[in-house]
Amino acid sequence: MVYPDDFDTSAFPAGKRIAVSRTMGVWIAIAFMIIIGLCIAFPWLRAQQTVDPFVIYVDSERGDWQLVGRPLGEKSATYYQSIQRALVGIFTERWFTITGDPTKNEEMWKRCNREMDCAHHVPSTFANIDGCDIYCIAGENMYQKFVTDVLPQYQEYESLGERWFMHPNKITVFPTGTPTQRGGTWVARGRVRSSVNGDFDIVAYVTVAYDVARYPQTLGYYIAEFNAYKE
Amino acid sequence: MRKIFGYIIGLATMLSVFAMIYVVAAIYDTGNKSIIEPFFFRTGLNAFIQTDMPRSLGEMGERKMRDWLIQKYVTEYFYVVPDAENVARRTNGNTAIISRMSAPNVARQWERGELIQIREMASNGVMRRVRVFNEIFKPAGSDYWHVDYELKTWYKPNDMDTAPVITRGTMYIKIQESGKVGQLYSNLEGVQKALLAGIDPAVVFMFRVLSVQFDGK
Repeated sequence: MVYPDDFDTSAFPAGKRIAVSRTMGVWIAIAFMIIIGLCIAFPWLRAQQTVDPFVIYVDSERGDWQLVGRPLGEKSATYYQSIQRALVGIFTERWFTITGDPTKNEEMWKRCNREMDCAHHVPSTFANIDGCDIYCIAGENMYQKFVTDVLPQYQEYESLGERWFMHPNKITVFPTGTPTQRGGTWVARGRVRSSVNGDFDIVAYVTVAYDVARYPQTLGYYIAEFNAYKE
Repeated sequence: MRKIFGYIIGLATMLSVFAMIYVVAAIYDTGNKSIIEPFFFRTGLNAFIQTDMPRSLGEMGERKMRDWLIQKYVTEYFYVVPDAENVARRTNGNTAIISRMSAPNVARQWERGELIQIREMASNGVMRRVRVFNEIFKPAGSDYWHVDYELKTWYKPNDMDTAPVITRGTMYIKIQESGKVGQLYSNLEGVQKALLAGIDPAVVFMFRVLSVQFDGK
């Protein structure tokens, strides 16, 4: 039976009216139930707010303001950023290494033949000094600066028995801008352990450039500029 | 007639229920009213790795905010890193912080004076750090804030034996005081968009330098 239409019978004329009013009653009751539900849910839903705070880090000493915890731009590091970062880390570590073995130091600092000696020199690890370590990943001008400005000092430290060591895991490398496929500028920070003067912190501004013909072993990247300071 | 009357009564009841919903919701909402501060600050050295709770703009107060913005300005005015890209960034568009935080004549004064020196120092491998020390104050009757600063300059890169040269001076800064220093320039949505686009967070807050004078540098 279809309710309330089938109650429209001649035997009981009031049947349909009663049935209609009952149907309405049921629907009104349902509507009120929904309204009561909304009464409960509506204010509660309105009170919901998504907290989306921005944390700004203010270094009041250095006047450096940065947004914290938000990925800016590309989330994942590109291959060229990874290579540049690794190169900067390795170069910084090598730059601040003076071993107790003069032969090893000589090997590390010497000028080599770029085609012959560097082609297979992949600076993929911090572990070993393979020889030509500085030369193979430095630009010609950079290496020349090293030889004229830095090497005499290092040889003097070496002759006085001073050794320098930099823990690779403690070196942090950050880009100063946005490194591109053609290179970029990076900041390396770390702590050098000296056998004579104790520990000292350094900061280095490192410019990475690109020349795939001369530096195929590092996919073209090399250190074009290295300026380090004792903090 | 009775049916129409019943219909109107039913309709009125429905409408009054909706009105009640609105009133109840408003009361409920008022009871739970909370203002969410969307900007938090973490301060101090190595704040990245500190475990302290961030503080909101309201908690920091206008004075602290103004001091920070002045420190930021003084740092931007003088610091040098041996990076040509950095110098280029400081003079172009959104990353030109001095231009964004100063009146045009002050920005021009910086570009014609300090910036030339910064460019030369950067190309010679010089690094210069800036530190604001002492309290930043404004004497009675003066329009200028007194800011004592210290410049630590490493003139020769890759020389671990030579100590940096330290010089001190005082900068007198007149800032626009009519607006509320430290309030946001635009609406929240715009600010968040700009921040995510990589703008320096300091330039989203109201701060404008109208004049700069020096002593002792």
